[in-house]
Amino acid sequence: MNREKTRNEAPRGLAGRLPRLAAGSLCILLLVLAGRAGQVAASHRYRAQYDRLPAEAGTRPTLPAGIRFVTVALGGFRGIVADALWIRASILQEKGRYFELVQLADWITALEPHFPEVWIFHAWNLAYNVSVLFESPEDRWRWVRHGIALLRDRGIVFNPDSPSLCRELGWIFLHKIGSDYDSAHWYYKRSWAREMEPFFPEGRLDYDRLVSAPSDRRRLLADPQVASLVDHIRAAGEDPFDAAVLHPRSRPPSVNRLLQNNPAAAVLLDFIRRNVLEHRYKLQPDIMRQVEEICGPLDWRLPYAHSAYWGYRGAAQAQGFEKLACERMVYQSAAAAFRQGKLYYDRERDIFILLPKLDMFEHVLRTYQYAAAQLEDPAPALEARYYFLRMATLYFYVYSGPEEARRVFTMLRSSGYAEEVPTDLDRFLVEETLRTSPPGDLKSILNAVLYQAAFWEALDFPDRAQGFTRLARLLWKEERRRAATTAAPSESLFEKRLEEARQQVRKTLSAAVPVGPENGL
Amino acid sequence: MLLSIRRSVRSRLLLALLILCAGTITFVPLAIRGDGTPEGYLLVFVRYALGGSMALLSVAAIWLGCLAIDAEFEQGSSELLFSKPASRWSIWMGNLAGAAIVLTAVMLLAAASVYGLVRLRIFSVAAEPEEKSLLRERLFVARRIVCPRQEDYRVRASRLLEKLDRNRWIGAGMARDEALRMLQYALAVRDASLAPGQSRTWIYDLDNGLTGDHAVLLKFRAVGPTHGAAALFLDWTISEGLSGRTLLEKQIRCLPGREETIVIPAAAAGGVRLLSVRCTNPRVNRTPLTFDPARLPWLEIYAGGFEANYLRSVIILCANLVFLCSIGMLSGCIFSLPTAAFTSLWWLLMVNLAPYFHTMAGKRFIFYSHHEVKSAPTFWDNLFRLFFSLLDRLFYPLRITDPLQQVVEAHSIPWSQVFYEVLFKGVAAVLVMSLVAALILSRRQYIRNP
Repeated sequence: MNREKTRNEAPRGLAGRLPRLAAGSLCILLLVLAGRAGQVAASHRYRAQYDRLPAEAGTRPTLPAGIRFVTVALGGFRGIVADALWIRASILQEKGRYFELVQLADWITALEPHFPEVWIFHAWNLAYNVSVLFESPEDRWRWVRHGIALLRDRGIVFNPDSPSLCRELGWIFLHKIGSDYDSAHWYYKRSWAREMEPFFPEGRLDYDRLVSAPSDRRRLLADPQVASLVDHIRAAGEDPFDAAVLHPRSRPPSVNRLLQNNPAAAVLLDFIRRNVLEHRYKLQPDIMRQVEEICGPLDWRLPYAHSAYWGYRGAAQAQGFEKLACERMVYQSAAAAFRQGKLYYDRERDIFILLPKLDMFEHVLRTYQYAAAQLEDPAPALEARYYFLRMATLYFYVYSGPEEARRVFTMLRSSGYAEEVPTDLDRFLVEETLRTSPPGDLKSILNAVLYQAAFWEALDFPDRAQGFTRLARLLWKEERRRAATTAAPSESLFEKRLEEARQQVRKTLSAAVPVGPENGL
Repeated sequence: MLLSIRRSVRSRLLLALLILCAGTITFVPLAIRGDGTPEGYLLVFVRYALGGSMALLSVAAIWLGCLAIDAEFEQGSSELLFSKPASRWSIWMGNLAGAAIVLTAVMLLAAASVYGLVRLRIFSVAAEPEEKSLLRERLFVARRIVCPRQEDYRVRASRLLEKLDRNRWIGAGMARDEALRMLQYALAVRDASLAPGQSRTWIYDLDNGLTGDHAVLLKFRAVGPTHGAAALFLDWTISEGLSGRTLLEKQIRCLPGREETIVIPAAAAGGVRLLSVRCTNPRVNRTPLTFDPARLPWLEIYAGGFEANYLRSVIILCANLVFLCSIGMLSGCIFSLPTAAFTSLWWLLMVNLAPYFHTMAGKRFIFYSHHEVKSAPTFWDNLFRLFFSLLDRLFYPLRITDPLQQVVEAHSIPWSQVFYEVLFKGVAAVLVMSLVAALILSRRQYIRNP
């Protein structure tokens, strides 16, 4: 009886409390939801501030299905797996087991696809830390390429609005390939030029033509002549859209015959060029044109054009310090192209020489002006312009002549740093040579300049030889001045030292190492 | 046991495992990127295709183990099963055997598939016949490591300690053991270092002598003041015996920090039982060089083909699977399914952390400070060292080894290692766990409350 009563009363009691319980639960639920919404909003604000989540999530590119699956399926364990892979990568690198590193970098970045620092670290590690542990330039280049590929083919594709990734990629081109810090840098430059040559036979492209090329196969094949050519190439057993078709050397003979005197060949080649540049190298023709409008005509076989391109792409999306860094990369690339942006590449004789590109001078100045206008604080860009003018004065003196050098020197004096520049051009040239030369006494620097003069003379570059001789004469006078020699400078003494340098060059060239990739040349 | 095998075979788990392993082996080649060389690609493939299968099977082994006993209680079949005239031990072992056979069969199938695919891939990744033969030579071998004779520095260190004015040179507060340890290390480093113009000789005992069929690799890693940037030269003279014929004289250009290899031709090495290796740091380097005293230049000698090594690694992996399955089953005897799975995974984490516990247990100081040099461990150091020592004692013998790493590095897995793994983990540990499980099962109530 009692049990029956209890059973009957219990629902009544519960029923009586139910509305209050429901209201209380609802309140708690609303509070939790409000708290969660606030937390999510704060988290998004924080992440947007640090550029890890774009303001509009819809603009983010779709990740490949595999990466999406991994990131969602692992849930909270994603971090633990990523940590385990990081630890494994560190241990293997420490042990000198490199074959897994690309794989591990691939997976770690796949676990954190929207975290630019992860991409940057791994690309830098592969291109810088691992590459230098190999002796042969081929092996080193393979690892530098792994670093480039990680950023260009995956990192930037998944994070197109991350300026830091563009800057890092540009830095690999400008510093790792473009500078001379790595002993295999000539091999890198040469390999990159060889790779780019089919797309930029003379170093540059007709962008209007490239932009007007069909963007997809359907449009290309709408032209009956092109369709017929494509069919013929297929009938010959070759792939008509292969990048190897671009270069006469890499083209199969059967394709070569079909392309000769065929009006549709140009359309097909432009299509392949545009597609490979856009999809493999991620180079957009319209952005390339914009970069050249700022930096001047660049040789795209050289790394400086590519570093300027990626710097420009990064700067377009960057804010604050990142913008400064990207703009800096653009003008540094332009200045580097001025120093050695002209390629003399003779495949037959296997000669690969980088020459100054003096005609870029005005363009480089414009790059600095552009950067100064873009930045909130133009001071870094103006300071960089000042140092560029110093360098340019010296370059013009050696490679062009005193007249041009004097013109640039006048610009330098009026650049706002006049108190740091001597009034006399000759004095400035000596100071600048000593400042920019590797550490050493005046005598060794003079010997190096004399050697350069004799070297270019031996290679039959009389203008260049004359320029270095001019500079050497200035340094020689300075040497005598410092030695407090009262006797008038004797031309015969200078000629004697030049002759010694000539003998040294002759000796070196007679025992020269053959030019070739095995020697990093 | 037969019933258990039948149940395991009929269960969807086996099918799921087979599909998952097949998926792993099929999709790994599509997902992996080597270092750009055919060799690197194949090594990554072996490492991750079989490693991925092992990871899947490890989790499956634990799950299967937890499920085996717990399902009997959950489904109510325990009343029927435990009322039979069979010992608890035999029931537990029967369940384990069933699960172990299924897991081992899947593992063997996965291993065979990976091996077959590797053989096939060689033809697709290597274009030239020379490249193929080179790949076979590099990949399809197993080498054993021979380290040089090591001096016991204890005697020298203790003599040196007696000579030294301890108060002046070592510090008054330092314990004798600590001072001895430091001196031993300092002596080992000194013996492994080469000033410009200095030479060192290491002796290698090759018990059965070299056959002369395969080249011998001398590997080393020198450390200099710069890492990787500037190349250094080392002069190496490799001779038979202490003052016998010279087998090889070579100057090697090496990068500090990078592992370098010198190949001693097979023809020259034949019949050698004692090898001496002399290394000179030429004056041209102008910098001292050192080798890690724990990793002095070592020899790698052909010890068999890839297949035997691979088989040994698979046996070890199978023993580990049985071990994990028995852990799952033991947990299943004590707890219900979710708790048992959680406990087993915790155990798995602990055994994976065993190398870390081992390292920490061997440290004298657990807490370091950049501002203070300790002469003796503090109370907290001792307490934590004791904690790590306990964990080390408990988990280190049970640690999950990674034989696949040895396989991809072409290092021979000795049979002693295989026997240890099989006997210790596959038999002894399982027997102990079975006894514990039998005890627990005998005390566990298997008839449900009315």
